[in-house]
Amino acid sequence: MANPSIMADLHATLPTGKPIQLKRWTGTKIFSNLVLLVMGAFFLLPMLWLFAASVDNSAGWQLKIPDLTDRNYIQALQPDYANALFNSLILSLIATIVATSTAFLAAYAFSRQHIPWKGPILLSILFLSGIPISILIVPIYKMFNYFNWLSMFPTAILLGVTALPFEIYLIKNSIDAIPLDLEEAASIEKAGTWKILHRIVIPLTMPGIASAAIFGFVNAWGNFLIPLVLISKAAQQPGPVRMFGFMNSVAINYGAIAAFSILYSLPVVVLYLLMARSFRSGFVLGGAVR
Amino acid sequence: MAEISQSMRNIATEALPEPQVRLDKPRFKPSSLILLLPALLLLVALFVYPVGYSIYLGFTNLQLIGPNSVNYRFTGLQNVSFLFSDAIFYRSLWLTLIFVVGSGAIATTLLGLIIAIALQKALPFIRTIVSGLAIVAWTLPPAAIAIIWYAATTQGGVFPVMFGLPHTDLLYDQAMLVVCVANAWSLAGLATIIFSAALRNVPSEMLEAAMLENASAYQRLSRLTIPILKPTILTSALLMTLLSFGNFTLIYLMTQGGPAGDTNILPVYSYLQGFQFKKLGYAALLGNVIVLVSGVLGVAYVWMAQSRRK
Amino acid sequence: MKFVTKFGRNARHTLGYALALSSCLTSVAAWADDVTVKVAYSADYLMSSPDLAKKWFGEIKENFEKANPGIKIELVPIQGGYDDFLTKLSLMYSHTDTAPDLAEVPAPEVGQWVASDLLAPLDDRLAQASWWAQYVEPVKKEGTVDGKVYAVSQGVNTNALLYDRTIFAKAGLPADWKPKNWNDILDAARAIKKSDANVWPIWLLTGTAQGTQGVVLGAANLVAGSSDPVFYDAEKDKWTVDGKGIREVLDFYRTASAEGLLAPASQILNANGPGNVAPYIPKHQIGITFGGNYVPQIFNKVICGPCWPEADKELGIAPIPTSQGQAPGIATAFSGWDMVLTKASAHPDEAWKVVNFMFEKDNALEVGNYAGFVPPIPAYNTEKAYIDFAPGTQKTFADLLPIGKSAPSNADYKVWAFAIAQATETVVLHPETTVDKAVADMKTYVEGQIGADKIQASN
Repeated sequence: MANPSIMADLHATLPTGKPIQLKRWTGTKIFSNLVLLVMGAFFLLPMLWLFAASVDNSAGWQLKIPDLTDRNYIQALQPDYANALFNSLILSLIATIVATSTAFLAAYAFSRQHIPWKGPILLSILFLSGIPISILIVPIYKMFNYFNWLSMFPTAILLGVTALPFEIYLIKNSIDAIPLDLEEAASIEKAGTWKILHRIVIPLTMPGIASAAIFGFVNAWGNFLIPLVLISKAAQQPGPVRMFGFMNSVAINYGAIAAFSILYSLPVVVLYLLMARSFRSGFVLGGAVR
Repeated sequence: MAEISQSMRNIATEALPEPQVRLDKPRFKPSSLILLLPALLLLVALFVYPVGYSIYLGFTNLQLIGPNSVNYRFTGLQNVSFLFSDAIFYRSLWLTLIFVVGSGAIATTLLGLIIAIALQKALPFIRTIVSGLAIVAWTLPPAAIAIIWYAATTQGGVFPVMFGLPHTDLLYDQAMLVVCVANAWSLAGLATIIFSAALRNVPSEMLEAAMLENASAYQRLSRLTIPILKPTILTSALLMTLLSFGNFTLIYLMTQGGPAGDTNILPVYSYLQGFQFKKLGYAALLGNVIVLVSGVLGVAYVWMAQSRRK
Repeated sequence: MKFVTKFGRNARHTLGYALALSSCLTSVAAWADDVTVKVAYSADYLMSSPDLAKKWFGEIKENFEKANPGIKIELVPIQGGYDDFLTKLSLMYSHTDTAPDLAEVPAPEVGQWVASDLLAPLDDRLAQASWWAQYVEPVKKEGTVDGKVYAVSQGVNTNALLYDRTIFAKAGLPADWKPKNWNDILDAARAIKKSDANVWPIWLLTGTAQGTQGVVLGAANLVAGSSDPVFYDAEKDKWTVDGKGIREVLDFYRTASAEGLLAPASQILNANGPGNVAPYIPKHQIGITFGGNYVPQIFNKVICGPCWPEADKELGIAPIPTSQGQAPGIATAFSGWDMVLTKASAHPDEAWKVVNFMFEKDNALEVGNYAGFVPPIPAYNTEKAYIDFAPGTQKTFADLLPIGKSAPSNADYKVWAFAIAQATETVVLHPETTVDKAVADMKTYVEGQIGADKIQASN
């Protein structure tokens, strides 16, 4: 007795010209969706507290029916805090632009051109980024102070640099996946390197670039120690640092923390949704580890 | 004329992908330098110097504040000998391996893989919701994740109640387990994205052929999809390992390395030494150890990847 | 042509430099009239809310600048939690151009700052300060390192037992409870547990997650009341890791945990334990709280976290007794926040003027309330502004100050504090652990971190 799902597939392959699509409920489909529901619950359950507390007038750390109020969101949107969200946005945008553009150029060179010891260089950059940031902060502070860089813009660049090793890796691998014929053809047509990049490589690796960009953005978005230490003006501090305004030695404003966290996640979720399509096919890492 | 021969040479050197035989010996082209320059500048200025200096600090007696904060000196291997006699360090090392490999490499990668594969067959609204939730989990600020998981695992929290033991302190009874799960929860979104993309590159013709040959879904998965994904799996494992090393805030805020040092992984211990006990020199040495450990793990991954290709 | 434009360019440049220089000089000349004093403080952690910190320091700046034209105050608020604030402040101090002139630091940290030669001794200046003369001795001592005063306290936290009168009535305990020794505390807890199984008899912080403040708010109080209240020998530079006192403390924790008399581990071990306790008290969830003076203040109209107007009637206060009732009969650990003057400050005299202004009576009372402090001057304890902040308990907390014990201002204190926090944590989570084992572990830990020559056992 043939496997019913195969029968369904066979039906689907009868000449209609359409690609194979499992339209009927099969065992694997049910199983997959069940698994996803379980996973969804796994992600959702801890977050339930977050949603409940953000609208709770007397939020503690326990999960309970909220005493509905919008007070927490109002608190989280006070000028100080809203300003911090805005600072986060600026920091992360600058960091992402700096990181992704330089990573792209370097990744192209690593992928297409001969660099001596490229493997070891790439790998060692990757591992060295494992040094805990809390240690790095001491020499970085010294350096930034010396050059008078204790403000937002240089900090943003530093945040970009912290994502640079990973971004180079990611983009390099998506460039690796593009066949060389196109570039060869362009070379034969005497197209310069920049033109090749602009017309051929970038469009084809857009997914990879997008995914590296999101990685860089999230990396800068969540960082809290670097801005805390390096930005001297309190008004320029980003979201994660400002969140400590809700926690002091005497009391902790759980409701406001929850509301602020949700607000803080929104921009990234929006970013993800916007780039969703190109994004999902972007993290091509096959054959990355040579 | 010169241009044509130049472009011929370009084709010869650039267009041939490794590891095929080259027409002439590969040379480093100056134009590569221009492409590399921005990244190189940034990395050297903002990365190599601090990292090098941090490595050096591991061999000094620098303090964050105290007599040796302004006047500190190179102390050679003194910190190293302290390290070798530090019982807490050994335990910390072991806990770190469990955390980054168990939670980071294995658990997160597995989660991401399972979700990505399942997403392929998902109903559209389930796909949006579940992948959206995974992404949100990844993007929440670390302090928020710590609070959420603290709330979910202490007495009366979601998980103890679910398991029918509302008065158990899951967080303190099984600190390492909770922290590992929390770590996987916070990184799985990224792994899902990585695998979703890689799955799109699995050639559909092969899958169709397998279906026609009466291969079951499980067989298609284990014989085709997974082997094709193996390089991605390894690279994702490597990435998750490195990110887990960096997920120090989560543990620090949830348990501060406790109780009784049960979750005292190296990054947390390094922070404790450097910023609580103010011994920055020793903390930097612990940081160097972290780099060594991640280097060893990385080499292991590379070796695994290469042995598979043979 | 090239040469000409180059020369022209040079001329322009020179002119530009000259202009810049002259404007610089004039502005420096003008600037010389206006001295700027930089004041660094914790924006988020110190006071009961960041708005209060902004308010108080903002008022100081405004009022001081009005009264002292020519001196400007530059406020440097530092955000983040306790650790982050200290990290950033330490880094700022490591470079003379970022170091502030004045800073507000937690008293236990002062010792290390002094050891780094960053602070200026204040004895000469204080000799002329009328308010310093009124300070209680223990607080004066807290800011003293090696015989010189480096830090002036804005106020401290003392600790006592806050008990819920409703729960006590139900358990048949007196409304006017005055325990004489630790056994009395345990007995009361047992009675509470018998009368109501859902109530947490004792709230007492433990564990390493709260850092050194957790120790000051928790175990240190018991150590201060134990048979070995002095756990650090400053002359010999040795820390007590074993002895009758330490064992009494560990035994208290162990017994309380074994008999189920403590609040749940997740609460008292929690990194945010100090901030988490307040909401539970109005709900009559806790029988006896080992609480700081700031706890009852949380219920007043100003802080309102939550508001509990009946607080002074419902909450009773009793000083923590000594372990066996030995003299002085009551005990508390205390810890405060102090103002320090940077040694390398360019304007020490102006900075001192600012300090004097901050310590004027009204300003001092206000910051004391905003930050939840007991004022260091006994005369202030009867001020209406202070008492009204939490009428039922403020006086008692203030009266504890003369017998209070502060933490040694020494780098190794952190290690010792961590070790005792860890020891209490172990016996709380695993009450089957013997006190011997806990003590042995503590000894091993401290020995491993600071060396065998720095530890001692007292008997």
